[in-house]
Amino acid sequence: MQNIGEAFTHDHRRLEQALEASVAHVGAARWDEAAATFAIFRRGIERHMEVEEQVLFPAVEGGAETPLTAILRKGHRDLRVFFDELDDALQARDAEEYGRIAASMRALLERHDEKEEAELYPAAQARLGADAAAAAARLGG
Amino acid sequence: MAEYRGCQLPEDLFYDLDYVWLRLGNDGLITIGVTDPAQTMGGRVLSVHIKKLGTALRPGRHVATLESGKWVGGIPVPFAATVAERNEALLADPHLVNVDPYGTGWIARLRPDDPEGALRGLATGEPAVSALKQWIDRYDVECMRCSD
Repeated sequence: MQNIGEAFTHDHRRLEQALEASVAHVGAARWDEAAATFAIFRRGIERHMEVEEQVLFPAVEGGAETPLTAILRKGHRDLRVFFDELDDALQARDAEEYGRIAASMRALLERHDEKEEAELYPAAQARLGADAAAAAARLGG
Repeated sequence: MAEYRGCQLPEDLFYDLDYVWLRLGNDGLITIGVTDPAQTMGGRVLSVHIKKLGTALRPGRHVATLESGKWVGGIPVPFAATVAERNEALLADPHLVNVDPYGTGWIARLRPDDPEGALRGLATGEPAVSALKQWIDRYDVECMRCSD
């Protein structure tokens, strides 16, 4: 049985690779490839955050928002603005802006992911028990 | 000025009730900065990036990005606007956000696309202070004023 920590942490690394691939393509002015890898990143991370918001946060909260889930929800809101800004930079073919936004977002993601891996996933695993595998499976491939 | 859990909350500013405060100037430009509880939550700011002069921003887009040792965050504008002035002193010394968030730590001055409607819908006065107290409790913040 795949647990929450393993599944979501693996997904973090997969998404980091997709983001780095898009940054590399932008740096080399391979715009079509950049758009394709950014689409993979965005689709994947939106799915990842959706499962966290719909399954993991409620499981940890037990009906009342906690400081941990409040700060993680806030992180998701901030990240979504960065996704839009990356998309804008991609559409404008502005490599400098794309690289700068990606650097900021990478730093935000690092801190956000560390908090999830250290605090959210162990707590969600404990609360979900036998339902943890189903939550992990919702991430897809 | 109202104070709660050590956080200063000026009643005369406008707030998005998240990170941001705004102040309307006599010239029609609107100054934007981050609140005392937001700067506390972020920790000592080590670097700041502010969008170029003349950049057009849609509502919700970031006018600046702040980075500390433990946090990175974008500073969203609540209305459509153009960047009219950047705080060059802040670019040279990002820590001003922590030392004087409502004064020398301001981030940028914005020219709103709709001057009459820009601040509509934002909170100010006692309702803003009350909502900001809830924000402080939600994120469990205890404010500290940084020194040099």
